[in-house]
Amino acid sequence: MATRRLHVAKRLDHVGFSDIVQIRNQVLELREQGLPVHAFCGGEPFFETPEPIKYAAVHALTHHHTVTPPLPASCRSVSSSRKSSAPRTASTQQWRMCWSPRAARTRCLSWWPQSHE
Amino acid sequence: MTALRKLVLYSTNGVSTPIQWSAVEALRTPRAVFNVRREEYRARRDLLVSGPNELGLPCALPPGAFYAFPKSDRLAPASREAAAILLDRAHFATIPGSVFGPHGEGHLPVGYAVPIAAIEAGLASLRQLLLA
Repeated sequence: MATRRLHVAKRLDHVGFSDIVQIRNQVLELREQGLPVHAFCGGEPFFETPEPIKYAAVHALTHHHTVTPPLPASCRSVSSSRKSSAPRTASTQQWRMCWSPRAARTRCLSWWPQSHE
Repeated sequence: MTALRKLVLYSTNGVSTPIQWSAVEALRTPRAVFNVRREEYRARRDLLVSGPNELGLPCALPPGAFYAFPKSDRLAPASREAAAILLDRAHFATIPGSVFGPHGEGHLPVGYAVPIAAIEAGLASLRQLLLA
């Protein structure tokens, strides 16, 4: 099977590493030399994700909830207007119904996975 | 509404469904969980901010986030140079404020999403450099 040679755009020659990456590389070099470095250049939350949040993803995977569910009926009028040439005319109320956390709980979650079929 | 549509589109497209279920669960997280975390961040923030202020690097108390932004002109006029000095002489790694744009120049963002012991060790090193 013939292999295709990958050509990298010349413009990438002018793209360098960000300052943040350069500093992190220097930190790694110093640490490799056995020197202590006090790294304040990054910032990541240090708390573990709460168990219920982790298990919600696990539950979704083990129960095959891995496809995007269709929009609830109240939102379909919004999405169906895409097919027409008319501009989409979703009201604020419609969007609120679609996307609010309460709507997610009371609509999307209650009919998933079979009730929407 | 156009702006809102774009916001929704680019915030939700491409996020895998299990992660979206996690996000729904996250919205149900009791406030008490966040209160514990907020207090922990507050303790680290207060400790970190006190150091530069004592050492002549004025630093405002950030009301949120996990970065403090002390002024760096005592070390060098340009934040890039100041960051290099801190790394070379105190092994205190931060990034130049200039990477955040012209308003960041003259400052050094210092993250406090690190353990208390690491903040104390970093401040000790900073103290040694600036009081030497």
